[in-house]
Amino acid sequence: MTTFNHYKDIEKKLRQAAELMPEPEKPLPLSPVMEKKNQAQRKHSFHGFWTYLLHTPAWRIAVMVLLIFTVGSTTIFAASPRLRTAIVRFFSSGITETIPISDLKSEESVSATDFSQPTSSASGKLSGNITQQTVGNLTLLQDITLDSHFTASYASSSSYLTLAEAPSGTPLFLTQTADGKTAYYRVTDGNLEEIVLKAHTLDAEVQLGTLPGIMTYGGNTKKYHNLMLPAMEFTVNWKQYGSDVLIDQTEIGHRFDISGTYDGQFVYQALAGKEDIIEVCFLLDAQQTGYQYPFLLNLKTGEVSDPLALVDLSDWLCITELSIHDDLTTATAMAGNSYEDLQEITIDLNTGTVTAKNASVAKPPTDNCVTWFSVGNDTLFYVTGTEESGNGYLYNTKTGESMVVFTDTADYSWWDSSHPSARYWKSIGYGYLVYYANDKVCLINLQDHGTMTELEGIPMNQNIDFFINNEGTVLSISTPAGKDSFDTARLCLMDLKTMEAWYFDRNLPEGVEENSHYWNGEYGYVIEARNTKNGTNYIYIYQYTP
Amino acid sequence: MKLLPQIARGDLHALELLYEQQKTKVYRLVLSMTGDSYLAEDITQETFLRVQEKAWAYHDDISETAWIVTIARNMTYDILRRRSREIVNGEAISPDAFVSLDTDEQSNLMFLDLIKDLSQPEKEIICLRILANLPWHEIGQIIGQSADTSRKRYARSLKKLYSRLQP
Repeated sequence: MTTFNHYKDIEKKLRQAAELMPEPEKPLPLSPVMEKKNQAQRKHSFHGFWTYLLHTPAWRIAVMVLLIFTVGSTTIFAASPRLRTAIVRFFSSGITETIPISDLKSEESVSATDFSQPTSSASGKLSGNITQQTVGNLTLLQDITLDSHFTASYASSSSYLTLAEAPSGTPLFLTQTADGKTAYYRVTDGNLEEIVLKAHTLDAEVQLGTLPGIMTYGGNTKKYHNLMLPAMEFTVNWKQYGSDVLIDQTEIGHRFDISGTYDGQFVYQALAGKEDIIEVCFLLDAQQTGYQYPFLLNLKTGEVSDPLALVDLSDWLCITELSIHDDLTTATAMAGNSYEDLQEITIDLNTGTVTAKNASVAKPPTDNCVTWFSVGNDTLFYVTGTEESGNGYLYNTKTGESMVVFTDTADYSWWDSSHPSARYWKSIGYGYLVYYANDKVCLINLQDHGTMTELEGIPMNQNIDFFINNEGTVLSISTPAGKDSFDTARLCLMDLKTMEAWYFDRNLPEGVEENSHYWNGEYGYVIEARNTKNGTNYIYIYQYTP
Repeated sequence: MKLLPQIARGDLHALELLYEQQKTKVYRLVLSMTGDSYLAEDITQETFLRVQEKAWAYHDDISETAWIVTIARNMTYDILRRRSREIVNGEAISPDAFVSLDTDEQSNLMFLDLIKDLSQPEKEIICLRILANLPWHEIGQIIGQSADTSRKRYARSLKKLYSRLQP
């Protein structure tokens, strides 16, 4: 009989074999970009550094992804032998948006040596076109440009412009200039207004609690039941905006070398609407172990409290992706007795009760599944066969009825553009699949009996991004400018309730590259961009009105 | 200390440090995907050139290792796809056709031998876990699946290896 230990033996054998693999022989290559930057650095003797903006921790993203797959719907499942199909046509705004950029110097006349070293007192200038142009339900553009100082900081990419993570209220724009100074701005009556927020600093000390777990380090796996870490000191910097705490983005926490063996880091997280409490998560060598211990810090008193104090987690040897909800009454985590067998648990922080969410969820009617996940309301989606050629089904765990969603379709990861006739499926969360077949792209709503909607005008292109907002109400479809481009040449927004959709084309100026796309709130879609020639930052906010 | 923000500012020392930290990981990963040591060298070089040019775009929501591995993976797939479309004597070249290992190399490539019968996604999940040593949620981000699915796929791959390696 095959046991878990056998798998571990195989894993050990693989690790040993991996250690014997050869190493590269060629030296470090240097790109022209790097050479140019290095020359500029040497010229200006510029050696300062600042930490980058700390965005949402990856483990939170992972929890979000898992929630996407398990979120329930209000739709009652009724098995249907045939898929209902529809076509959604994307209406063009009729406008090709030429992205405005202000004060952009002629690239030909600019060289690295033209720039002077920024002074410590200089600050970035924020300007923008708060145009609020609207077409239909879409506000076309609100662009904010952070320039001036940045055109003088050629050698530095530490400047940035982004939306601050203010959980509520007016969106705040956070800037950091090349000299490390940060500033917040808000839009008031169509104008940008800098707001000066008082900075706070707090030194705190924490004695972390105990958690069971498995730690793998240096190829050795060690189980522990009461990991006690020594008391550690850390510093947190923050600013207050209304009822929200804005973590100072220049401070991402100390790193610790614990007993000379393990490396750790504190990560701070504001809680929506909380004036005095933040969540601090201690990550112990997170890349290797996934170990994390969250606790709460009272910013007024410096008191540290353990939200897991009442919780008995001794039944779970492996706990990862632990996240405390903003209301401080519940937490979620992935837990199990091995990392190969994790399930989502919900922890009631007031009573210490631990509930395994999947405990009552039935499995698909076959063990031969490539993948499966719940789409809510006693319904599972599962794929049988292989990833290269699988059959997808919806399965009602109460009635035992199954219906076919697709057949002979490859997992998206098997995309091969040399076989245009192939069919692919891809989950985009919230109970939706993207289905590619016959040069058509369709959206399948698993929560609505697998209803298939053709997305007319969306080409069969592997590089198109589909991104649903956190509320599951609006889908963005971003078509890149080219094969290797991250820039959005065409942005489509689709209301998943009404199935109405719009698109518009975008012309991005040469030299400007987009680096981040994300939803901000239910209806705000944000694109952050940067001019690679002179470091100027741009932020474009598209507001969708349902 | 994160190195990519420093590299984005042109810090050569940070780049050298990053290269020393990550080169073996990247090279072995690419080698396992291509089976070609020369091609793996080239792609590793190309990866670090891309890292230099795109360092500004790095954000802290993924580890530096995962970010670099993603670049290496995409670049490898792009090159393999391009090469597989090249026509020689009227026949398409498959990625397997590029395996060109000498005897000395083969003695060091037991790892490739172990995983040779796995499918490409299975190989990939094994390599991301064993060679790149990435946590599940980041493997999930890279391959476009959930952390849970990544773990399951890995377990299935180990199971398959176990059954195939039994005498």
